[in-house]
Amino acid sequence: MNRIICVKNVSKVYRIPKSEKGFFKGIKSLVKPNIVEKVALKDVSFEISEGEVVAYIGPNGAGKSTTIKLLTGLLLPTSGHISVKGQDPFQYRKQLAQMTGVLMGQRSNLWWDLPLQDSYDLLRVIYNLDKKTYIEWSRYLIETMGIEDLLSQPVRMLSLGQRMKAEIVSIFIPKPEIVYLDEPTIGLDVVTKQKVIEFLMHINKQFHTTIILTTHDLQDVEKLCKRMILIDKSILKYDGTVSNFIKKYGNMKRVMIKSDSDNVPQLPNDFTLSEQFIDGWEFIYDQSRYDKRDVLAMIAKLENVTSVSFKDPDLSLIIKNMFREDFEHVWDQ
Amino acid sequence: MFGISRGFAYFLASFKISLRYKVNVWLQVLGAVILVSIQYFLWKNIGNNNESLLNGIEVNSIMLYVIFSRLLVFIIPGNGTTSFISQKILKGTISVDLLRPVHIQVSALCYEFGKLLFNSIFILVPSILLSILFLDIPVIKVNIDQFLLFGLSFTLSYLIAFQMSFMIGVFSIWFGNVWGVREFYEALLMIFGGSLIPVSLYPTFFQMIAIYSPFQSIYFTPLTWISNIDHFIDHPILVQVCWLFIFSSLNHFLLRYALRRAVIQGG
Repeated sequence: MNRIICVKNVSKVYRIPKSEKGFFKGIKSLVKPNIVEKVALKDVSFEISEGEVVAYIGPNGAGKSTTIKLLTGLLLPTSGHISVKGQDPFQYRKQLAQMTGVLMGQRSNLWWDLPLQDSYDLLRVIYNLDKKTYIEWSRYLIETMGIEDLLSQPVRMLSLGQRMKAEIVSIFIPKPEIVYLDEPTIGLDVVTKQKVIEFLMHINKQFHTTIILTTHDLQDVEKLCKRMILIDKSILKYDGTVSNFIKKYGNMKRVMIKSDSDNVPQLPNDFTLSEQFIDGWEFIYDQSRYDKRDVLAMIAKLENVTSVSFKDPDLSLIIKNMFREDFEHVWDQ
Repeated sequence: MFGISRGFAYFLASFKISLRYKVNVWLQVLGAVILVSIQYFLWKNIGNNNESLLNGIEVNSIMLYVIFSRLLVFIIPGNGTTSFISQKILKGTISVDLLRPVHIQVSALCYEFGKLLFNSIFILVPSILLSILFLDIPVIKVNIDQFLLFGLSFTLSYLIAFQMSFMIGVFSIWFGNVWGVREFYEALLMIFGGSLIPVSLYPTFFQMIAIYSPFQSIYFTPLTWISNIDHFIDHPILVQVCWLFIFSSLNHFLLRYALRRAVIQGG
């Protein structure tokens, strides 16, 4: 497969003028601003091949959106080198825009006051698409996403789910080779989310479109992506397959304890309470330290326990705990 | 060229969006006729009080000037252009436009052209017809040369006003909301640009400042061609070309610097 994106030792440091309180300090900051440096990305390197679907995940403020801005040429890296389709995205932003689709959070690609069909027709003009090809292609996208009924409605009249489906179709109107989706399923209900995921899977399989997806929803990642890149505190922590990640960091086990009592069961300190339910608690623990029988023996000593069950960790559990300071020792091993 | 064919989408969008707000149109026509009437009766009264000449200018010329200046307000780029860019900066949606294969300034200009066409058809022409029908507007003999020069001068003034309003919009990156800058600009346009009354009616001191300001190139210069008022500067169209060059260049450099800052904000 051809390498389509190459990021080599990229760092991005924002230089932000710090506002000063007080009149005289304010005047002084106008003349000599107090600049604060904020590291958004630190020595990040990865490559993405044509047709890959890659999840780019990490907590808020980790540097995900900065990466997308760098890849699309909206920002210039402080150091390092980026190439997209063999070109510098900052220098060739407009040329690359023709073959790139970007969905950035809640920022709309559509015209709020116009019917959806008009927005798509306008995008055809912007991307200079042949009319016949556009008609066939847009019909295909619209039918695949199932939004035929929305075409005559002004965009401002659409619900969040309807609008997000419409937005995703709009991204694919110019037949992009690379698509960046920044949280495409945020705020969507289960059914809409499923439709969006199926649509993306279908397009990727049929047309080998390269998709880079940032999300907090790790179920989406497990369904859609074979590969994931994990970033935290501006540093790349993991780059590889989702299944290997679960294997590598999945030496945890979940134990669900149901009880009649309102008191949290007292277990050793390295049992971390991960979730609380109306009738019980879920703890996670390191399998290499405790055998299942040891855990059952400890629980047997507790009062009012009605049931115990064990579960394997999923991606969301691993990631959730990866960013908990009290569990950092697991990742440092 | 310059992505104009792709920018045509913004022209269509602007025109279609304007069409969806038809009630506004009738109210705007009504407002335009009221504004024209105020100017008409004010200057008619001044003329009736034996003041046939003011600063050496015929009252009829002034009347024609002020009536057209009120109408040009509807088509000369201003608040709309500023909002187009400033709202995108403030809401962070500028990145959507930057990620399209059209230059942001081309898209803003094409969007403005859409409004120009709409306002010309639905506001300017009906307002002029209604004014002619109900008010005894003076007709000044304008030869074809003057009319063509008015066309050229208006085109330049349109582009200068666009560049200046666009620049104010870009200031949002530093100032946030730019309504204060906008109000100040409008005031300067009134006093030095002749959007209210011809600059020639001001005392010499103000006229001197106006000569060296870009504002007179926006309203005063084009309107002098059709109202027979003296331009009071040599080669007014050349001056307009110079101002257009200056503001286009300033915007070019300002954008290069500013947009990098604009996209940093927000995730």
